[in-house]
Amino acid sequence: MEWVLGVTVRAPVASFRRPLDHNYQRTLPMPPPTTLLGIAGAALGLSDRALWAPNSPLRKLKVSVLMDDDHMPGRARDMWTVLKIKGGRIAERSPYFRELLFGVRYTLLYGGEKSVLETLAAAFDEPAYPLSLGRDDELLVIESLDMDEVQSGPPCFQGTLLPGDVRQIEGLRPQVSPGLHFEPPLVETLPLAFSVDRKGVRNPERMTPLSFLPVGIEIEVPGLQALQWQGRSFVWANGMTG
Amino acid sequence: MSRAIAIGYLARVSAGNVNASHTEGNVVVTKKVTLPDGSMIPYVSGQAIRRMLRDRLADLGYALSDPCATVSGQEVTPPVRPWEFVDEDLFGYLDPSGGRRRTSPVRVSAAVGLFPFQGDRDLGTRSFERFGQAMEAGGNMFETELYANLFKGALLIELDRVGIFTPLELGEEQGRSLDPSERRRRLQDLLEALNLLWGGGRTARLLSDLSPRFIAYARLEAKHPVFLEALAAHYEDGHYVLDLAPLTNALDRFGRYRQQTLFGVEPGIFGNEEEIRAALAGYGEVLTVHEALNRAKADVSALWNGSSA
Repeated sequence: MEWVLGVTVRAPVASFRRPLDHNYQRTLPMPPPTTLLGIAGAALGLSDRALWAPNSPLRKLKVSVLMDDDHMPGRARDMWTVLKIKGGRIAERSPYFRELLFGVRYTLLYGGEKSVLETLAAAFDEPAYPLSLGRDDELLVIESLDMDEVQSGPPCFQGTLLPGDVRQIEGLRPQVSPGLHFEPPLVETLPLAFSVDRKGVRNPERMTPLSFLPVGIEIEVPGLQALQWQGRSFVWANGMTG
Repeated sequence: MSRAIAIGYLARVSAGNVNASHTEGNVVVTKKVTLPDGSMIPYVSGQAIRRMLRDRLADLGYALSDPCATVSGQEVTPPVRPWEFVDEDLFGYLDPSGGRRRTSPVRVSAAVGLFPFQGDRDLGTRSFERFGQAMEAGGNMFETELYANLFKGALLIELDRVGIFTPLELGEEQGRSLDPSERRRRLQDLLEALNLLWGGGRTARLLSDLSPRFIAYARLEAKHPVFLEALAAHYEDGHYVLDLAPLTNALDRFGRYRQQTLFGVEPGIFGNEEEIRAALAGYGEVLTVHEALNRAKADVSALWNGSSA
C-alpha cells in the first residue's frame, strides 16, 4: 500500500531559480522535485552528499506539490550587485536581478512506504536544519502535517507539476469560461536528482521536461492516472503514478 | 534541549527608503513587491538586514571579517576563521577556492511592509557646486521613492551551530568549538544588535530607526520559525493595531516546543496596547522592547551550563 505525506507550508518570500538563468534569474512558480527532496533532506539532517548518494534513503521517495488555489503570490524583482574582479582586485559592481515570490502557500507531497513517510513526518516535526523554500533565508513555516493512503482522482489538474511537456499532450482540455484570468503553464527541463562528485560539485541527473500548471484554470488530461490529496488531483513528478 | 531561538519583530519607518532597488531615470526606486491585485508592498531584503546586524556588531566592538580578504584570479576568499570573526560564525561564509562554506546559523527573513506603497517621493537637488560651479548655477533634480510603513521581520537562530564549526566548514581534519561563555556572549550581542538596528541606504538624509517596536522571542526545542507568518496589523484612528489572532494561533500551534517565551511592546505605538498585553500574558512575560531583549539575554546566559540546554 502506498501512502502520501502532505506538508502544508507558508513563506513570506520564496524563489526557485530556473537553472540556465544568470543575470536575470526568473523563478519557477513552485518548488521543483530536487527542491522538494532537498527540503526532506534538510529535515532529516542529511548532507548534500548523503542526500544524493546512490544509497540515499530518499532515492525512492516520490514527490509532487500543490499550490494554494485561494490566492496568487506577489512578485518582486530583487536587485543584487556582484563584485567583479579586474587585474587581481575588485574593480566594479555589476547588477543582476532575481525574481521573488511573496506570500506563498504550498502543500508538499511525498509518497512511499509508510515507515519511510513516518520517519519523514517526525523529521518535519523536529527538523535537523531550518527549512526554506529556495535560499537559506527564505524560511518556511509548517502549517500542518497529514498522512493518508493514496487514492485515485480525476485527471483534472491546477496549481501542480506534471511530468512531461503539457504542450505535447494530445487531447488536453482546459476548462475555460468567460472572464477567466490565468497565467499560461510553464515548461522547463529540470533534473530529477543530482550526483555529487569528489569535489562536492552537484551534477544534474535524469533531465526531464516538467510542466508547472497555474492555479485558476483546471486542465483535464484524459487518460492520465491521477492521484488525489484532499480533493486536489496530482501525479508524482519524479515517478510513474503507480 | 534548546535547539533554536525564534524572533518575530515589527519595525516602524516614519519616512524612508531603507533598501533601494535600481534607479529609473533620476528616480531611486525602493524594493517592493507587486501583489496580484496590482498594489505594491515595500520590503527590506534579508541581506540588507544581515549587513545592518553586522555593522551593529562592529559598533559593539567586534572586528569583522573581510569577505574579500584574498583576491586571486577570479576568486575571492574570506579569512575562514569563524572562531575569530563573529560575522563568519553567525552569518556564514563561502570560500570558492577550497569549497569551504558555512551556512549561516542565523537565518534572517526579509522585512516585509504591512501596508501598501502609496507612490510618495522625496525631491532633491544635486547641486552643480559639487562639480566646481557656483551655487547659482543650480543643479540636477532627482527623486527618491519613500514610504511610511510598519515592517514585519523574523530571525531563526540555530543554537546547536553557533560557535560550533565542523571539519567541512573549516577544511580541517578536526572541527572546532568555542567556549560556552563566548557562544553566549555572541548570542547576547546579536540580540543587542537587533535592539540597536538601523542602517540601509540614504541614512545621511533619510535615517530610519529599525529597532523593534514589538518583539516576540521564543526559545525552542525544534527549529521552527514560529513568528514568520504570525505578525499582522491594520491602521485605525491614527494608530497601528496589532492583529492578535495569527500570533496567538502560532503560539498555540508551536506551544509544545516553546521553553521560554517573551514579548516586548513599545509604549505609544499600538492602539490596542492593553489588549496586546492581556492577550499575550498567558503565553509569556510582556515587557517593553528593551526590557524583553534584556530578559532574552538573561535567558541566553543559562544556555550550555546544564540548566536549559
